[in-house]
Order: sequence, then C-alpha cells, then structure tokens
Amino acid sequence: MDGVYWNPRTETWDAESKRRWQLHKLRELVAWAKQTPWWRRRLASVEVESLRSLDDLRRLPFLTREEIRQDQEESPPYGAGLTVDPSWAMTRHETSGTSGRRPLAFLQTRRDWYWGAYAWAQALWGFGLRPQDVVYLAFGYGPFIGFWGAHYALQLIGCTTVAGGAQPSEARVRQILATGATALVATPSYLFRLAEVAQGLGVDWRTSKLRYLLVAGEPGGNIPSTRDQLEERFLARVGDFIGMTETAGIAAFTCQRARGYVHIAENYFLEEVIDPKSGEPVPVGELGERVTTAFGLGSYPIIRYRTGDLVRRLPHSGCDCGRTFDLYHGGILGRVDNLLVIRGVNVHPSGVEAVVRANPAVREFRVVAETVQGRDEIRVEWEPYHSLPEGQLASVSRELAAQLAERHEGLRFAVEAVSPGTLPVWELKARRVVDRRPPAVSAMGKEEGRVP
Amino acid sequence: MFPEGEARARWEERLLALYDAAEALLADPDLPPGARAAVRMARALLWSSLDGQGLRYHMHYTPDD
Repeated sequence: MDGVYWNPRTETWDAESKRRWQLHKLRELVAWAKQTPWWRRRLASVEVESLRSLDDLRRLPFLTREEIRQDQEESPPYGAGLTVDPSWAMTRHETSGTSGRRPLAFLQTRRDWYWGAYAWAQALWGFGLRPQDVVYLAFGYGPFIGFWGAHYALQLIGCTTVAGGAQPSEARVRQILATGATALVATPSYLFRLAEVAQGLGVDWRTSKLRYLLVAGEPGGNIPSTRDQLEERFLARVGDFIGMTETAGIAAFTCQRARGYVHIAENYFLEEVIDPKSGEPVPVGELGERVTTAFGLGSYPIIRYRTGDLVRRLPHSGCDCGRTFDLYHGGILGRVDNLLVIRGVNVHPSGVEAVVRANPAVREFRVVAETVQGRDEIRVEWEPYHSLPEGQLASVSRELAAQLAERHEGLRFAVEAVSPGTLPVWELKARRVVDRRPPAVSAMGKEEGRVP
Repeated sequence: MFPEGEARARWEERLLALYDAAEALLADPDLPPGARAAVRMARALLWSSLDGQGLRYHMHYTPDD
C-alpha cells in the first residue's frame, strides 16, 4: 500500500461534495452538543434544522478559551460542557500551560481519540511517512497532549515508534542513531538543541538515516530561516503539523510537495478566518484569526473555537499535490495574543525569529517588550553558541538591529548579546516573548492593538 | 449516510458491514470482557476510518465508546 493519499476520496473531492459533507457533520455535532444543558444554553438561538448551508455557521456563537476556563472553574474538573460521563474517557490531556495560567484539561473517548489520531495519520501519511519508517519521538510523554497524537497515528500507519521520553538529550542522540530512526518528532526549538548536543558528541546528523523532521507546537516549521537551518543541519525535510489540545487532531499539515504552506484538513475540521476585532470573515489571502470546528470531538465539542492563531488562507490551487484542501500560506504566522504593538508597529515573534535564526551566530533568543519612561520599547536578547570577542558580538547585534528595523517599518530594536547558557532551552513549546508592559497596552485588541 | 446515490467500491461496502457487525456484537450482553474490549477498540477505529473516507458519520456516543 503506497498511495499518495490516506483518504483518497475526501482529500480530493470537489467543492460541492466537501460542502455537503461538512454541513452534515456540523449538524450532527450541533445536535449532539445540544443534548446537554450547557450547550443548549450556548446554542439556544440556533435549531439544527435551520443549519441549511455553511453560511449558517456564522449564526453559531464563537467559543473561547476563556469560556472553557470559566466553565472548568465553575464545574470542575472538566466543565459542564462535557457531554459524556467521565468514565467513558480513554485519555485525559492538558493544554501546555505556556500562557502561565492553570492548564485546561480535556477527556477523550475512544472515538474522540482515534478520530484525532486519524487526522494526525492523514497528515503524516501526506507528508510521506510509511510503515517502514522508524520514528523517534523526542518529548517527555507528560500530560500535555503535544505529540501523543503523533505517537498513536504513527502506530496506525504501521511505523515503528521509539519513545524518547524522560532522558537527557545526549541519550536521545545516541538512541536516534542506534535505532536507525528515519524520522524525528520534536519542536523546532528542541531540534536546535539536539543539533547542538550532537555536535558536542561529534555526531554529524547528515550521516544518520533521518529523512523527516516532524515539528509542531511552534511556528518554526514554516519560518524559512528556521526550517532551512534545520534541514541543513539534519539533512532531512521539515514538515509542519498544526493542532491544539482542544481539538486533539491535526488541522493543517505539510504535504510531500509543500514549501512554505500547509493544507487544511477540511475533512476533519471546518476552518474560518476572521478579523479578531469584528469577528467578521476576512477576504481570501488576508491575515486573520483561525477559528476551528472539530467534527469528531463529542466529549467536549469544539464549535467555532477562536484559536488565537493568525493565518492567511489561500485556495488549494496553490499546490499541485492533488488535494482540494485549501492552504495556510506560511503556516501559523503569529498569535493574536502575542502580537506586540510597539509604537504603532506590529511585531510578530515569528517575524523576529525569521530574522534572528538566519544569523548563524545565534543559538537562542528572547524578545522583551517594556515601557521605559512612558514609551514602549522592544529589546531582542540573543545568545551565541560560544563566547565571542566583544567586537564580534557588537557587530552581530548591529546587523540584527538593522535587519529587524528593515522588516518592521524602521522600528528601533535594542539588540543585546547575552552570555552562552543564559537563556532557557525548550523541549516543548518555547516561550520567547516577555511582555513587561502594563496589560492594557500589551494585549491585542486593547488600546494600541490593531490587526495588520 | 454519505455519499448517497454514488456507486461504492466493494471494499467500501465491506468496511461498512464490518462496522455494523461490530455494533451488533456490542449489543450482545453475553460478549465476554476480553472480546468486548477488542470490538470496542475495533469499532472506534472503524468509525474514525469511515469518517475520514466520507463513508459514514454519526456523532453518537454510548458507554461502549
């Protein structure tokens, strides 16, 4: 079995078939949710029978992370939005907690979990994974959902999974080589760490059997400088996989042809792109917030969920792989909640990463926004691989400041080198933005916030 | 059920029949725990696969899910 598509019919269907199927699933999902009081209240204004076209989707209210958080706080631990008895669950997972707040917890029934695993499998198969692949998963196998879905999906495909949890990076490097792994699953940040550790051990990744790097959790897989550096260091192709704890499965993925975009898994998710302020859809090709409806999650339905991800949707015709799934150009381009608006200029951390990662002297970096004498300032701290002479550090800093200003309408960036080992190393989602400004100024949509 | 009116390949019919067989087995109260566990798992996987292929989709859970 070596077809191009995991689900040949649905990955290539025509627009009308896709629309009919999505409407059918939307109606089923809404009908299921409305069996419980919490959802009946939320969706009181919409009868299932009145959902006659996908345009009717807009009559359903948005669901936000704050609402789920409030629900879980009022009805602990899983919220009144849970539609099944907790004993029906097969798995329990949490959000990453990168927001600094208590993670949200979600249960998944067998159907939920395998639905998510199938969505992952479609994505991984589409990228090129096959049963003969040996895949090393370099993550902690903790409560955060990240990469658990990949683990199950790879086993569905028939790959050999090698669990690389709870051990130092040096041991992981040795295992990857010893097992003859052909694919490696990690965040982009952690891949940089593995590259560095391997170098310290005298290992040249380019002589390994690795062919695929599967990344998720951060936007790096579609930031050209990050992706290119990883591909060069490992001599393997980077695939970007976009999902979230709340939705279990993969909503967008890199196919075998893709370069600089991902396909939306439109047979599993109904995705909208909206203006974060008005909530209205943005025209095709314009930047907006990704809103998702996950068709196969029944235990805690995800209907019109505001992801906070910033994306630019384009028609499927931009890729010649044959899938009729639309594209997100550049993958996740930023987050609504960590867009920094500095003196009226929008600064996306991913845009900073694109510049900083392109400089070979940079090992790690951090973005700090602060208010100095009533004025917003932005500082980028960068860390070299090893100690460098002062003059060279200053030269790199000057170069980065100029490139960052050029990319950001001339905005002045204070760029500072810090000593090697100063900045944290991330295994899962990296937190490279520190916003020390008063909340009313720094949050998107408040006072200075605006959509580019 | 979807897609209605479209000719289906023979394997599609068999896959649907397999799912229906799993449903019927789970309705049997005498099914021993070990066999029930296997069929529950199989049904969840079949449900996911049928959904992905656009063959059948119902959001309908039971304790056996």
